[in-house]
Amino acid sequence: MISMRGVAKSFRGMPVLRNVTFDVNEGESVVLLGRSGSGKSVTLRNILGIIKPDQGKVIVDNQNVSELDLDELYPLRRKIGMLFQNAALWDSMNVYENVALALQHHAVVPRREIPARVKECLTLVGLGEDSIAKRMPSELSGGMKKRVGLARAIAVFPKYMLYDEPTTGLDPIMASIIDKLIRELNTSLKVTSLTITHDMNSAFTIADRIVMLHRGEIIFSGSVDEVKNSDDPVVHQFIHGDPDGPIKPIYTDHYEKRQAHQ
Amino acid sequence: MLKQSIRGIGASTISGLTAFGGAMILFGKALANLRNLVKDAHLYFEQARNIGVASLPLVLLIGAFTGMVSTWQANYTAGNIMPLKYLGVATFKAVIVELGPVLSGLVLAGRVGSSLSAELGTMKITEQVDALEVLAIDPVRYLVAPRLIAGMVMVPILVILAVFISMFGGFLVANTFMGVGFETYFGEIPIFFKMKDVQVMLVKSIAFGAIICLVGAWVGMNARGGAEGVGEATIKSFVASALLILFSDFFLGTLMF
Ligand SMILES: Nc1ncnc2c1ncn2[C@@H]1O[C@H](COP(=O)(O)OP(=O)(O)O)[C@@H](O)[C@H]1O
Ligand SMILES: [Mg+2]
Repeated sequence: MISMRGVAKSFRGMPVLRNVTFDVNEGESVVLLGRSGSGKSVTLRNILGIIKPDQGKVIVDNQNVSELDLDELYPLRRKIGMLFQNAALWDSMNVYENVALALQHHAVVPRREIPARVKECLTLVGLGEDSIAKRMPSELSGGMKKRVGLARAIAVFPKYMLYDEPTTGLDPIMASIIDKLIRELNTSLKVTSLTITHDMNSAFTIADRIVMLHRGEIIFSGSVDEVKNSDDPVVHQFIHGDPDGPIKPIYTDHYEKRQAHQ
Repeated sequence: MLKQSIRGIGASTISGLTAFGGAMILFGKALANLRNLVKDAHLYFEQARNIGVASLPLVLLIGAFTGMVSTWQANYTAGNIMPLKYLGVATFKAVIVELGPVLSGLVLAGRVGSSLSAELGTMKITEQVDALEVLAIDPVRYLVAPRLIAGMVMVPILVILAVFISMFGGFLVANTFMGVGFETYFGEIPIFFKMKDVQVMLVKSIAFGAIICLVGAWVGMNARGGAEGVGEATIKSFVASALLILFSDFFLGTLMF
């Protein structure tokens, strides 16, 4: 289980997360919605312990992430897979090496089974051809990088998966293939999932439950049907992409803050 | 005004000390990773080879020119009071303790140090370092230690090589323009040779190697922002290591002589 309790995080005096509280229960698939810049990626980084919250607690697998030192964090992180928003492939390694590195480093599978595991994961994301395995990240499109990043994350059999905008930059067919994969990992392999997405179709396909981050707090949590029928004006505006409503297009939270700051 | 500039000096002293502390911690962590040296040997060799291949032509060129200019200058300055047989000794003394290490140190700060900070800086800002962290692969073990340690071994070797080459550059000039033969040029060197000269050269090369690689690695790992951040890191690491090389050259010079 992943739980955040009252998490606050500021950067240079600018609050991004104010009081974030939500759970992702064991085996559950939760989608996290929110505007660009609302702190969704920061939330994931807190879960991984890459950044520490200023206040509040992050509990993953019954461990308080912010109290762990590196020696304790690494074993915990081996249970968590992360798909980065910008894939974050290692650009000095080819596709095969990107997916294989952690398998080798942690001896996740016996050495001679590594090629088969790499191939299996690349095939799952639709990149099974041998010619692709030899390509360097600079020779891939944005969407392909994303999928290699996904293969790299799932290769080590994580118990938890964090997906940062998994379908952004993919064509609609590829996007549904990835949605299906995320859902399958969740249902058949019981991978507990937290997914950030701006794609409502994706959200409705993947989610058991949807939570929404707005102005540094979780303002909504409910099932797909509850989201669709929500009369919360912020949620309603967001899922329908309405230009008019309580969320103002230009004067974002940060903009207002910055103005007040000056 | 005064208050402000004192505050400015205070702030930069503090950030300088923080940087020094941070670099030392990074150095300590990298050294601790030497326990994995055998297992990770391929990573270290790869970095050592990269540095060697990238810097060798440059180092040969600098070495040759340093020696050529030193010989030319020695002849110009003292040509009419000094017999030509001392040209080699004059060049040797100038090059081995001072010009060789400092000039090649400065150029390697540009070549090795800047590429270290650019490479690590790019990986940092594009979250490639985080990607290692998340997969529980220690970036210090996997990225920093091989580059840092390989650099600290290779830079002194390259500096020493430059010093050697410079003697032949000097001989080339002496032979071509002043008609000095091989035995005349090199003959007096053993007589004036002091072990001290070699010691100073070794100490300086090792110190410069450490400065270049530590500054490069630390600045790279602390890069922020986008592509600009990487550019900034590269410049910062060059300027800082160049200054540190000149400072430490002076201190080591005064301490050891
Ligand atoms: N390391 C950091 N340093 C400073 N500001 C940051 C940092 N990481 C994120 N931010 C800021 O926090 C805000 C939220 O970022 P992010 O979580 O990436 O948003 P998103 O919801 O689009 O994923 C942004 O304004 C961003 O500029
Ligand atoms: Mg984001």
